[in-house]
Amino acid sequence: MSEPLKDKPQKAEKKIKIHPEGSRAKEKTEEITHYLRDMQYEPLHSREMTLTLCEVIRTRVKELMIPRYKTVILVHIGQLNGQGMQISSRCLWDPNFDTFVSHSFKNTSLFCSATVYGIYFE
Amino acid sequence: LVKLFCFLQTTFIVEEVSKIIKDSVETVIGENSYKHGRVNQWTTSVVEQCLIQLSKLDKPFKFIVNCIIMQKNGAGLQTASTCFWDNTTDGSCTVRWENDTMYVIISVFGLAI
Repeated sequence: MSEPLKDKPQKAEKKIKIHPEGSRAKEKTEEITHYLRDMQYEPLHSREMTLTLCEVIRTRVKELMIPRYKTVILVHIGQLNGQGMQISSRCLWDPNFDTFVSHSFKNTSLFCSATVYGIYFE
Repeated sequence: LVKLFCFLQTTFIVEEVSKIIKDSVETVIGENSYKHGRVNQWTTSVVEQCLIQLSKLDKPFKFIVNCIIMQKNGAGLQTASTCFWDNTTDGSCTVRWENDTMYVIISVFGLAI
Protein backbone atom coordinates (compact mmCIF):
# COMPACT_ATOMS: atom_id res chain seq x y z
CA MET A 1 0.00 0.00 0.00
CA SER A 2 2.80 2.39 0.87
CA GLU A 3 4.76 1.96 -2.37
CA PRO A 4 2.24 3.45 -4.82
CA LEU A 5 1.91 6.43 -2.45
CA LYS A 6 5.67 6.90 -2.52
CA ASP A 7 5.72 6.98 -6.31
CA LYS A 8 2.93 9.53 -6.69
CA PRO A 9 4.60 12.43 -4.85
CA GLN A 10 7.75 11.81 -6.90
CA LYS A 11 5.83 12.10 -10.17
CA ALA A 12 4.00 15.23 -9.01
CA GLU A 13 7.38 16.74 -8.15
CA LYS A 14 8.58 15.97 -11.66
CA LYS A 15 5.69 17.91 -13.17
CA ILE A 16 6.63 21.10 -11.35
CA LYS A 17 10.29 20.72 -12.18
CA ILE A 18 9.96 20.58 -15.96
CA HIS A 19 9.69 24.24 -16.86
CA PRO A 20 12.53 25.64 -14.71
CA GLU A 21 14.88 22.86 -15.89
CA GLY A 22 13.82 23.42 -19.49
CA SER A 23 14.82 27.06 -19.33
CA ARG A 24 18.19 26.24 -17.72
CA ALA A 25 18.90 23.71 -20.46
CA LYS A 26 17.97 26.38 -23.00
CA GLU A 27 20.67 28.66 -21.55
CA LYS A 28 23.20 25.89 -22.06
CA THR A 29 22.31 25.47 -25.73
CA GLU A 30 22.49 29.23 -26.26
CA GLU A 31 26.10 29.14 -25.13
CA ILE A 32 27.00 27.53 -28.47
CA THR A 33 26.92 30.98 -30.06
CA HIS A 34 30.19 31.78 -28.29
CA TYR A 35 31.89 28.87 -30.01
CA LEU A 36 30.57 29.63 -33.48
CA ARG A 37 30.40 33.40 -33.63
CA ASP A 38 33.34 34.00 -36.00
CA MET A 39 33.72 30.57 -37.49
CA GLN A 40 33.83 29.89 -41.25
CA TYR A 41 32.48 26.59 -42.57
CA GLU A 42 35.25 24.09 -43.30
CA PRO A 43 34.40 20.37 -43.55
CA LEU A 44 37.03 18.95 -41.18
CA HIS A 45 36.85 21.72 -38.62
CA SER A 46 33.04 21.74 -38.67
CA ARG A 47 32.95 18.00 -38.10
CA GLU A 48 35.14 18.38 -35.00
CA MET A 49 33.10 21.37 -33.85
CA THR A 50 29.83 19.40 -34.14
CA LEU A 51 31.21 16.65 -31.90
CA THR A 52 32.74 19.16 -29.49
CA LEU A 53 29.46 21.05 -29.18
CA CYS A 54 27.58 17.81 -28.50
CA GLU A 55 29.99 16.94 -25.70
CA VAL A 56 29.96 20.46 -24.25
CA ILE A 57 26.16 20.61 -24.17
CA ARG A 58 25.91 17.13 -22.68
CA THR A 59 28.41 17.99 -19.93
CA ARG A 60 26.65 21.24 -19.09
CA VAL A 61 23.21 19.58 -19.00
CA LYS A 62 24.60 16.82 -16.76
CA GLU A 63 25.88 19.52 -14.40
CA LEU A 64 22.26 20.61 -13.92
CA MET A 65 21.88 17.27 -12.09
CA ILE A 66 18.26 16.74 -13.06
CA PRO A 67 17.40 13.38 -11.52
CA ARG A 68 15.62 10.57 -13.41
CA TYR A 69 16.01 12.20 -16.83
CA LYS A 70 17.79 10.73 -19.84
CA THR A 71 19.01 13.22 -22.43
CA VAL A 72 19.59 13.09 -26.18
CA ILE A 73 21.52 15.94 -27.80
CA LEU A 74 21.49 16.60 -31.55
CA VAL A 75 23.73 19.17 -33.26
CA HIS A 76 23.67 20.06 -36.96
CA ILE A 77 26.19 22.42 -38.58
CA GLY A 78 25.71 23.22 -42.25
CA GLN A 79 27.19 25.48 -44.87
CA LEU A 80 25.13 28.38 -46.18
CA ASN A 81 25.12 27.96 -49.94
CA GLY A 82 21.61 28.91 -50.97
CA GLN A 83 20.30 25.35 -50.65
CA GLY A 84 16.83 24.57 -49.37
CA MET A 85 16.58 22.53 -46.19
CA GLN A 86 14.11 21.33 -43.57
CA ILE A 87 14.75 19.72 -40.18
CA SER A 88 11.76 18.11 -38.43
CA SER A 89 11.29 16.05 -35.34
CA ARG A 90 8.44 14.10 -33.75
CA CYS A 91 8.37 12.09 -30.57
CA LEU A 92 6.33 9.30 -29.07
CA TRP A 93 6.53 10.09 -25.37
CA ASP A 94 4.68 11.33 -22.31
CA PRO A 95 4.04 15.07 -22.82
CA ASN A 96 3.49 15.60 -19.10
CA PHE A 97 7.10 14.76 -18.22
CA ASP A 98 9.17 14.79 -21.41
CA THR A 99 10.27 17.90 -23.24
CA PHE A 100 12.89 19.41 -25.50
CA VAL A 101 14.74 22.71 -25.98
CA SER A 102 16.22 23.93 -29.21
CA HIS A 103 18.42 26.81 -30.34
CA SER A 104 19.73 27.81 -33.74
CA PHE A 105 22.45 30.18 -34.81
CA LYS A 106 23.53 31.64 -38.14
CA ASN A 107 26.50 33.70 -39.30
CA THR A 108 27.61 34.62 -42.83
CA SER A 109 28.96 31.19 -43.76
CA LEU A 110 27.26 28.57 -41.61
CA PHE A 111 24.20 27.74 -39.56
CA CYS A 112 23.94 25.57 -36.48
CA SER A 113 20.95 23.93 -34.83
CA ALA A 114 21.18 22.27 -31.40
CA THR A 115 18.37 20.33 -29.71
CA VAL A 116 18.27 18.74 -26.27
CA TYR A 117 15.53 16.18 -25.49
CA GLY A 118 14.79 15.31 -21.88
CA ILE A 119 13.05 11.97 -21.34
CA TYR A 120 11.72 10.98 -17.91
CA PHE A 121 12.88 7.56 -16.80
CA GLU A 122 10.30 5.76 -14.73
CA LEU B 1 13.64 -19.58 -25.23
CA VAL B 2 11.19 -17.53 -23.17
CA LYS B 3 14.09 -15.43 -21.85
CA LEU B 4 15.32 -14.81 -25.40
CA PHE B 5 11.83 -13.76 -26.46
CA CYS B 6 11.56 -11.35 -23.49
CA PHE B 7 14.99 -9.96 -24.30
CA LEU B 8 14.02 -9.29 -27.92
CA GLN B 9 10.76 -7.68 -26.85
CA THR B 10 12.51 -5.14 -24.63
CA THR B 11 15.65 -4.20 -26.57
CA PHE B 12 16.22 -1.74 -29.36
CA ILE B 13 16.93 -3.78 -32.51
CA VAL B 14 18.78 -1.61 -35.02
CA GLU B 15 18.04 -3.75 -38.12
CA GLU B 16 14.33 -3.70 -37.45
CA VAL B 17 14.24 0.08 -37.02
CA SER B 18 16.51 0.67 -40.01
CA LYS B 19 14.11 -1.25 -42.25
CA ILE B 20 11.16 0.81 -40.97
CA ILE B 21 13.02 4.05 -41.75
CA LYS B 22 14.07 2.97 -45.26
CA ASP B 23 10.56 1.84 -46.12
CA SER B 24 9.09 5.14 -44.89
CA VAL B 25 11.47 7.27 -46.95
CA GLU B 26 11.02 5.22 -50.10
CA THR B 27 7.24 5.29 -49.77
CA VAL B 28 6.96 9.02 -49.09
CA ILE B 29 9.73 10.50 -51.25
CA GLY B 30 10.87 7.82 -53.71
CA GLU B 31 12.08 9.41 -56.94
CA ASN B 32 10.52 12.86 -56.37
CA SER B 33 12.70 15.88 -57.11
CA TYR B 34 13.40 18.45 -54.42
CA LYS B 35 10.58 21.05 -54.33
CA HIS B 36 10.64 23.72 -51.66
CA GLY B 37 6.86 23.76 -51.39
CA ARG B 38 6.65 20.04 -50.65
CA VAL B 39 9.54 19.57 -48.25
CA ASN B 40 7.47 20.38 -45.18
CA GLN B 41 4.90 17.76 -46.11
CA TRP B 42 7.60 15.17 -46.86
CA THR B 43 9.42 15.58 -43.56
CA THR B 44 6.14 15.43 -41.65
CA SER B 45 4.98 12.32 -43.54
CA VAL B 46 8.29 10.48 -43.21
CA VAL B 47 8.49 11.16 -39.48
CA GLU B 48 4.85 10.25 -38.85
CA GLN B 49 5.11 7.05 -40.92
CA CYS B 50 8.18 6.04 -38.91
CA LEU B 51 6.43 6.71 -35.61
CA ILE B 52 3.32 4.76 -36.62
CA GLN B 53 5.39 1.72 -37.62
CA LEU B 54 7.55 2.01 -34.48
CA SER B 55 4.48 2.13 -32.24
CA LYS B 56 3.17 -1.02 -33.95
CA LEU B 57 6.25 -2.87 -32.68
CA ASP B 58 4.49 -2.63 -29.29
CA LYS B 59 7.71 -2.29 -27.31
CA PRO B 60 8.04 -0.42 -24.00
CA PHE B 61 9.98 2.45 -25.58
CA LYS B 62 9.71 6.18 -26.03
CA PHE B 63 10.87 7.26 -29.51
CA ILE B 64 12.42 10.42 -30.90
CA VAL B 65 12.50 10.68 -34.71
CA ASN B 66 14.50 13.45 -36.40
CA CYS B 67 14.48 14.05 -40.15
CA ILE B 68 16.64 16.36 -42.28
CA ILE B 69 15.95 16.94 -45.97
CA MET B 70 18.59 18.98 -47.79
CA GLN B 71 18.71 20.02 -51.41
CA LYS B 72 21.80 18.88 -53.30
CA ASN B 73 23.81 21.89 -54.36
CA GLY B 74 27.31 21.26 -53.11
CA ALA B 75 26.79 22.59 -49.59
CA GLY B 76 28.21 20.65 -46.67
CA LEU B 77 26.37 19.39 -43.59
CA GLN B 78 27.67 17.84 -40.38
CA THR B 79 25.38 16.12 -37.86
CA ALA B 80 26.27 14.62 -34.49
CA SER B 81 24.39 13.31 -31.49
CA THR B 82 25.31 12.25 -27.99
CA CYS B 83 23.12 10.65 -25.36
CA PHE B 84 22.99 10.23 -21.62
CA TRP B 85 21.04 7.01 -21.19
CA ASP B 86 21.17 3.31 -20.32
CA ASN B 87 23.43 1.55 -22.85
CA THR B 88 21.95 -1.87 -22.16
CA THR B 89 18.36 -0.99 -23.11
CA ASP B 90 18.43 2.19 -25.21
CA GLY B 91 19.66 2.61 -28.77
CA SER B 92 19.67 4.71 -31.89
CA CYS B 93 19.62 4.19 -35.62
CA THR B 94 20.56 6.70 -38.32
CA VAL B 95 19.82 6.17 -42.01
CA ARG B 96 21.28 8.31 -44.79
CA TRP B 97 19.32 8.18 -48.02
CA GLU B 98 19.60 10.18 -51.23
CA ASN B 99 18.23 10.53 -54.69
CA ASP B 100 19.36 12.79 -57.57
CA THR B 101 18.21 16.07 -56.00
CA MET B 102 18.27 15.71 -52.22
CA TYR B 103 19.87 14.16 -49.16
CA VAL B 104 17.69 12.73 -46.38
CA ILE B 105 19.06 11.87 -42.93
CA ILE B 106 16.73 10.22 -40.41
CA SER B 107 17.69 9.44 -36.83
CA VAL B 108 15.59 7.37 -34.47
CA PHE B 109 16.37 7.23 -30.75
CA GLY B 110 14.62 4.59 -28.61
CA LEU B 111 14.62 4.98 -24.83
CA ALA B 112 13.30 2.17 -22.67
CA ILE B 113 10.59 3.00 -20.20
